[in-house]
Amino acid sequence: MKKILKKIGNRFPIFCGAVLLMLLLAGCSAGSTIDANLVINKDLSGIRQMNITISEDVFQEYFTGSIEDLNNLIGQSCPQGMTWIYSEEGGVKQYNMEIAFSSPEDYREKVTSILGSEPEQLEIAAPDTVWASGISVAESFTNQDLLKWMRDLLVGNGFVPEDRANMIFSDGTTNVVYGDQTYRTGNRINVNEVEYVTIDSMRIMTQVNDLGDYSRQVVIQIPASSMNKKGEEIKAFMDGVVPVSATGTWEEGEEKTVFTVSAQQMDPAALAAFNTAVFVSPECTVASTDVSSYFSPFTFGAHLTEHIDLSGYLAGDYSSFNVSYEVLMPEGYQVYSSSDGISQDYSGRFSEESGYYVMREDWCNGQPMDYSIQVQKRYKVQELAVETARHLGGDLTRTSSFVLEKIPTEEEQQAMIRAVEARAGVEASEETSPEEGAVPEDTEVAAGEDAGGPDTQTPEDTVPEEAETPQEEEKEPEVAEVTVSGELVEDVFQVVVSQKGSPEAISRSTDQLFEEAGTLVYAVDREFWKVKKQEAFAESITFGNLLEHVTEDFRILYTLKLGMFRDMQYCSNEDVQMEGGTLSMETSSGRVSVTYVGTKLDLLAILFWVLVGLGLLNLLILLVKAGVFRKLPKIQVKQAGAAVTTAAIPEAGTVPMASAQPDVTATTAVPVTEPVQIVQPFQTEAAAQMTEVAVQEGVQSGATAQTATVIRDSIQAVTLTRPEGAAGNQTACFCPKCGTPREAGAMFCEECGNRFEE
Amino acid sequence: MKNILKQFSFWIALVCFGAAIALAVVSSIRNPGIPAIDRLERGMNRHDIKSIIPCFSPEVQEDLRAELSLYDSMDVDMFGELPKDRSVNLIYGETITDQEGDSTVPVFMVYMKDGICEDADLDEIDLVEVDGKLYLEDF
Repeated sequence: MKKILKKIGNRFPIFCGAVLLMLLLAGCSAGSTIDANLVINKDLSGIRQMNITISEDVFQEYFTGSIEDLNNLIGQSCPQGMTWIYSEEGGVKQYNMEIAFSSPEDYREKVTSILGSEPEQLEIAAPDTVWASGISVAESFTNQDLLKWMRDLLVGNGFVPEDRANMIFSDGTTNVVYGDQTYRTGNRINVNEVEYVTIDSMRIMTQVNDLGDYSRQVVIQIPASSMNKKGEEIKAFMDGVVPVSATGTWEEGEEKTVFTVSAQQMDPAALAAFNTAVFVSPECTVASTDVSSYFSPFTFGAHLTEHIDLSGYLAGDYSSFNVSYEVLMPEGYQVYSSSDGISQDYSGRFSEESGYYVMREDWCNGQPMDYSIQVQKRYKVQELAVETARHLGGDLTRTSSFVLEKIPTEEEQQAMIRAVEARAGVEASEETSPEEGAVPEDTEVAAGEDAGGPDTQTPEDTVPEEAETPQEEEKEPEVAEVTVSGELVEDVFQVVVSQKGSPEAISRSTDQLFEEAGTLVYAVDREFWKVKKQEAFAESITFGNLLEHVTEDFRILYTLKLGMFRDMQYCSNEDVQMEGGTLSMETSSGRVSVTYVGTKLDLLAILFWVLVGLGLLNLLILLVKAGVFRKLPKIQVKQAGAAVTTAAIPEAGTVPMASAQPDVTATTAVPVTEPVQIVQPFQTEAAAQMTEVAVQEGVQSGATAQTATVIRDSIQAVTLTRPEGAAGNQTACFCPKCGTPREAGAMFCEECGNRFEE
Repeated sequence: MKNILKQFSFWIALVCFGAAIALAVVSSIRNPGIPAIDRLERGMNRHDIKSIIPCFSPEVQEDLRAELSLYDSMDVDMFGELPKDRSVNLIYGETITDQEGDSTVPVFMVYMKDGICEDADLDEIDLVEVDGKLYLEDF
């Protein structure tokens, strides 16, 4: 004990000095004390109050000058954005410095102005949602930093010596007040009293009923931890987001709770309203655009875009949850994610569990989600019947009938016909034109409907374009006559496209309709006189995107009608049938390609030869009538001193035998143009009982003149005698009718039966 | 003569022959032949290279004659495709003239053997008009 006391006694001066120093230092650090309160309101406005307390003793000791001088100086130098109030009570001087702000941004501006530079950190957050509630404040500056200007003022004006500048202020207590809660903090305010609850995931599931008709389910998965913390608030919140036309259901489990909001059959406007309510954000929008013109006429399309703000489900800046965008479509529909509504970027990942296609999966961390999908409604072509017929004039008619698997609605039928007509450059008829106001709202018609083909046709769609003006120097190319119609036959709808014209005209219209001209050629032998001509026909067609979607049992029935009296020699397709001038075949490919070679009976050639034959026949008749082919009748002649002989009239053209005395057996002939004239008895002795033959002048046969001379000589040489015993009774020796020699005493002609006159 | 003129048959014959001639003329005008192609067909069936030279335009004829004199043969594909025991019928369609004045004609090359059609190809032949006559532009 003595040693200790001795030690203390030896060090007593040091000890006292230290105590004095401590007292002195204590007295110096407590020149003034700053106590601060940062009061934040619900709307994040507030006030920072800094109270500087100076006792009279400290003031007298450390401050030179009067308080009035100091106040005047403070009044002149107080920075903008800060207000001050001086009060004194019981010798204690108080300066109440305040920075009032309307918002965190306003607060930041004022602090920046006071500090002379922007603070590194100044964040105030007071979320008040079911997912996050409380206050969070973080600052990188202190109260003394905000009052540095005052310290500099005091030192600069001699109120406080410079060596005691750091002793002017000392930090007291700093609090953050939010509502009825007060949070103690250090010199640099850092309060984080936010309570978070989160959701695990959100599935935005869309069911396509039709273009412009959607059903939606939003499935929110909430972990048990969140439900345990704020289960009642969460339920109240969720039940509150369900719109009037929707339903909300809960499914509670041990590890998670699932809340589902569902609504049926919504158009884009109703879908937007649904999103706004469910996602608790007025920033949600939905837009729908008609993009059907970019597809086949049998496909309708809509471009659906959604802007979804999911910040209403976020617990804070650093919270996030998984969100997926899924689509369910019925048969005949197809959905793609598409940035522009035309491209088909991604068809989605099929989920076996739900049957939906997951178009996109993301982590939502506060940024709005933009979804863009293209919905197609496809009518598949089940059958295509192509009939090509050739007419007598050389024109062709091609009829293409697209039979659809399902029957579209009436509006869709008309739209299909209009689309095909637009491709063909046919002006839409009144029947197929859309009615006024039929176009739904929020629907834009995409560009590119006008195919830019040849000039439009009349509303009847059947009259081909005529030449524009007589002054046109260049001849307009021939345009095929194109008609488009829709037919409902036996519960099946078909679009019928008919093209009529020359092969070149049809090829041009095919190029417009089906995006490729294809081939259409007919050729036939050029020798007109050939009755059986060889002909050839080639046709190949592809149908562009009209056959973009076909059924599994799709087939093309092709028929080629060439006419009657055809015989096939060759066809490029083996499975063809030819019957009655009609060739038919069936294929399951998407194109028609056929080359045909055969023969035909050319009716014009037949007519030609018939005319020639008729002409020759009539010519023959003419010749026959002229007597060219007539046979001369036989005549009986009796020459002088010779027996009665029978001589036949020589046939026409035959050369008579030339002899000095007529040969009794010789046959001479002359052409006979007039009936044989019977020489009446008693006219001349030489002419009695003799047939006088008149010789026609200019008879055709060259030997006739000579023949006539011979006959004449024969006649003159003949001496006719009366039968003995018949004096005075000159009886004719020949039948007057047919010239047959008459037997003596005969009453009737043996040849013709004529009765002889006595 | 007068008797002949009075005959009904005479007038019938006259009308028939007149109609036949008119039909022939109209058919020829509507479906005019292209002598160059007809000659080409004959030359191909005879396998006579020289006979097809006049089918081509005068400019090409010079080249062909030069080639023939040099090599004693001509590089004409169509002959390579036609065996000796086959014949070919060239059936051609309507001539198509584009806006630039170039003419083409679709031609079916129908290959026959013993009267049976074995194959048929569709091709296009370019035509050129020189001094009012159509020639094959090239081969």
